[in-house]
Amino acid sequence: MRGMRTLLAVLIFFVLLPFGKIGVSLAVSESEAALRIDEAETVVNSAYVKVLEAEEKGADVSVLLVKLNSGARNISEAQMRLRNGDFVSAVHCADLSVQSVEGVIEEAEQLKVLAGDQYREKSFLTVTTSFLAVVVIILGDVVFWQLFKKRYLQKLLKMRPEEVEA
Amino acid sequence: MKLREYRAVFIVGGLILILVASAPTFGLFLPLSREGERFSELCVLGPGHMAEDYPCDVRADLSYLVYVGVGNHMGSSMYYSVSVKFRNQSEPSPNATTGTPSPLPSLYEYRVFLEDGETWEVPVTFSFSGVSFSDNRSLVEVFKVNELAFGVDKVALWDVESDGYYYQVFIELWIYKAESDRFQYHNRFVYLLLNMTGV
Repeated sequence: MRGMRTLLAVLIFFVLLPFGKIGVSLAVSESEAALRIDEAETVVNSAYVKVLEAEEKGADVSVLLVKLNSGARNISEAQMRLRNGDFVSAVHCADLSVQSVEGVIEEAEQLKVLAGDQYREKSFLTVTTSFLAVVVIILGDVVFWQLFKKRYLQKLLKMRPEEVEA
Repeated sequence: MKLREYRAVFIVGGLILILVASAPTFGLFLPLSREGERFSELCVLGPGHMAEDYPCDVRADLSYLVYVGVGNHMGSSMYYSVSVKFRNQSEPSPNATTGTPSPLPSLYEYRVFLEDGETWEVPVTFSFSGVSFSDNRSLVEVFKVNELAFGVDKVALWDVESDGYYYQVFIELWIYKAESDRFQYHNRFVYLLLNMTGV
């Protein structure tokens, strides 16, 4: 009988445990919510800084900006809910904001490296092409000049003086 | 033409071609400045997406629609904050000369990232409730933006010159500065002057 009671108590405990957890999570203080929003803001801001760095290197960051926009929207939503006293929703929005920008920093880093590689490749190609073009121009100029000079002198040698009566 | 003159023509022609061929390389190391005037746009449009039919005479419990737009011409992606604020005639508005925002709290806020050259527009609906009139004063207790209610308790006195109880819904543009890790007022604001006419 005693064993049955213990079993029942344990069962009741486990059945009520999730509700207990929910009850705990519902109790969010204003300072706690504000802190979570601050943390989320820091995450979004640092992601943006990384995206800016990638953009400066010439990367196309439009896809990352879509994710950042989702994060930003949730941050503003969180702040408005905080001001309205809805701390639970504020925390929820702050968490959503962090989720929205997950992986943005890593993607921005990858894009930055990729853009750097592309820039180096493009620079190498440009410098090499320019160098080759300059060499071809100099050689062409010299060859043409020699040919022209030869023809000019031949033409000059074939000329006969004309007598002009005064 | 003498041979010496022909030689000069060949040298000058060759140098011009060399300059043309090496221009892309110079462009890599001496990037031409693309800086034009850098600025951000902030605008408010009426319900028809045009600069007309703005709400003017307003009543309690009626909803009004305007569109707020932001454009980025700053040369790179920007992070903007658009703050919706509400004031009566005696409360401070933003100062365009000193570039300071209104000290009034932001009620509704949008945050948006925009690429260079991109524009963004959003519908904003607002309404008023808890409006009352007495002794040449009007009181607005609640200001709703996009169905989110804010307790404001704003009192406006009867404006003898303009014949009305005037309030202002104004929108400030803030921009995120990575150096200071915070939003700074971008010295752009637009407003709607509203005459509270009835309950």
